[in-house]
Amino acid sequence: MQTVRPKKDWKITSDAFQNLLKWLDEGTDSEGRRYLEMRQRLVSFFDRKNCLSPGELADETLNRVARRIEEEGSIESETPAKYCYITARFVFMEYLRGSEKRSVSFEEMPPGVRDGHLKTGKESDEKRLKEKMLDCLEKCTGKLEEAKREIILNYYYGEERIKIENRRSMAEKLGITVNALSIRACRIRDKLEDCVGKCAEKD
Amino acid sequence: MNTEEYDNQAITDYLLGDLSETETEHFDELSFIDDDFADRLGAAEKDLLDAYVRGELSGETLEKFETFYLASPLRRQKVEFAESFQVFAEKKLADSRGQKVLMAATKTGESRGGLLSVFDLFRNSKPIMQAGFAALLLLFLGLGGWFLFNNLKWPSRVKVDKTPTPQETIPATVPTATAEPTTESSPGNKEDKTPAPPTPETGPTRTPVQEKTPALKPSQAPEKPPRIPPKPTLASFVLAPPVRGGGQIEEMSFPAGTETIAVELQLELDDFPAYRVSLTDRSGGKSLWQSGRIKSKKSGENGSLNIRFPAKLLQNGIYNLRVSGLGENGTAEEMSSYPFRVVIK
Repeated sequence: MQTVRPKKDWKITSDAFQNLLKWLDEGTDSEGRRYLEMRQRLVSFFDRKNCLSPGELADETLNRVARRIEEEGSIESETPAKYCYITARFVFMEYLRGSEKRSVSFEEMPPGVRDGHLKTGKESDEKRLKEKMLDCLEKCTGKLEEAKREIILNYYYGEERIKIENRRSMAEKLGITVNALSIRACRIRDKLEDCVGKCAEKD
Repeated sequence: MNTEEYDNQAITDYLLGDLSETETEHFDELSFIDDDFADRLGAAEKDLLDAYVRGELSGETLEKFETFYLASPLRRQKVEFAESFQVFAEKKLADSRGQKVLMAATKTGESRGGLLSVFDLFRNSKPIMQAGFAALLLLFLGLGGWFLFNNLKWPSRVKVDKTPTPQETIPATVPTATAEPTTESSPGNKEDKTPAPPTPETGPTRTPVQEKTPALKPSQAPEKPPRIPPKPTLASFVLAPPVRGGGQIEEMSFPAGTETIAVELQLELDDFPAYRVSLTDRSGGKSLWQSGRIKSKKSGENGSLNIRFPAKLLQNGIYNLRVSGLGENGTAEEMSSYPFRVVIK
């Protein structure tokens, strides 16, 4: 007889996680890239919905999917992307119901949050953080291959028309479309942002 | 997936929470199941962020951005990154361009093979470039002759005139002893604030005034050490009224070490007895400095406000000067904001 554990008590095991990775890869081996990509899409989804902790909700979604895979062996009814989206919608609706119960009045919010901006420290801290971020940018761009560094530094250069012209000429030089170039630049920037985020957290 | 069913404007509206519920759900789904859409969404978001950081957003889009997009801490982090990234990228590009110029200059100055390097450059260039080099060479020879004729003053001039780029300017500067300004500049005394003629970069409406370094006269003897320019203490700028529907963000470029920033804000309408100006950090909306109650000065068709604040409040990045009109009864009404980009050299 199959024992069904309550959802809240379920914790993802190493095997369940491996099965999730396999299922997301759909027969290929992306070495975890597909998982990271899906998690990022989930975080962005919950963030666009202005959820307070998009990362936690993304993990909750993936946990539920992993649990379902463990229970069913696999999920064939939908593609992994679609199934994750459907699950995310349920998680979001539950979040909304939960947030209604634990809503905080405007006056109860800390002043920084009330202003719409979390002020975490003094001006000097902010300056230090900005300097830190610039240092991290230096380190992280240094880690990029030269061709990627060229793209990322030049792609976002210029304002309005100059920027458009610049991108057109870059794409021409690389022999790709402007659209393909924008996606390439966007991915490099995502990597850079991720690297800078991790670097800045170190201190 | 049919990629024709969405366009960049719709994606921007989606990012700003400006689509209907049905459209939003549709885009939500696409962001998961359509890789192409997800990529375009990512690219559009970065362009939107950069446009905000550069002050290119205006009207409803800017309002939506500030009220909806910036509501999330995660997205505010993205703005912070975009700001730092732009400062970094611009600096890197400027450095690399400066480096190229320096390398070319070093090659020509090398004792062994210096001239050969120039000839190699000449030989390996395209015909049009060769013509250009030839013209440059003739120009240099002509100038060299002229300078030799003028008592060999060339070396001292070269060393002093070390501006990184030809366009680079130094704001109006005065030594500390004489720099301390009166509280507000007299409108009649505007030698250092006359708006420069519009250029394609600055646009016709907003003109930060930065007086170019006066041409240095080759008056010193060649053996004398190069003249060190006085440390700048004051940089002054003029900002014209914000243009409806956007316009390019103005740049305030001043050397490191500048102590005071003086700004003349030209008003679109001058119908308040007094005003208050606050300096805010564009990403956080944080107030860094606030003026007292100031009165406008008549200048041109409308009045203008003269303010001064410490330069140390600014770093490379985008800032905003917000002007509020103060009524007789003490009420304040936000009138306009003057975004600008700071470039410290």
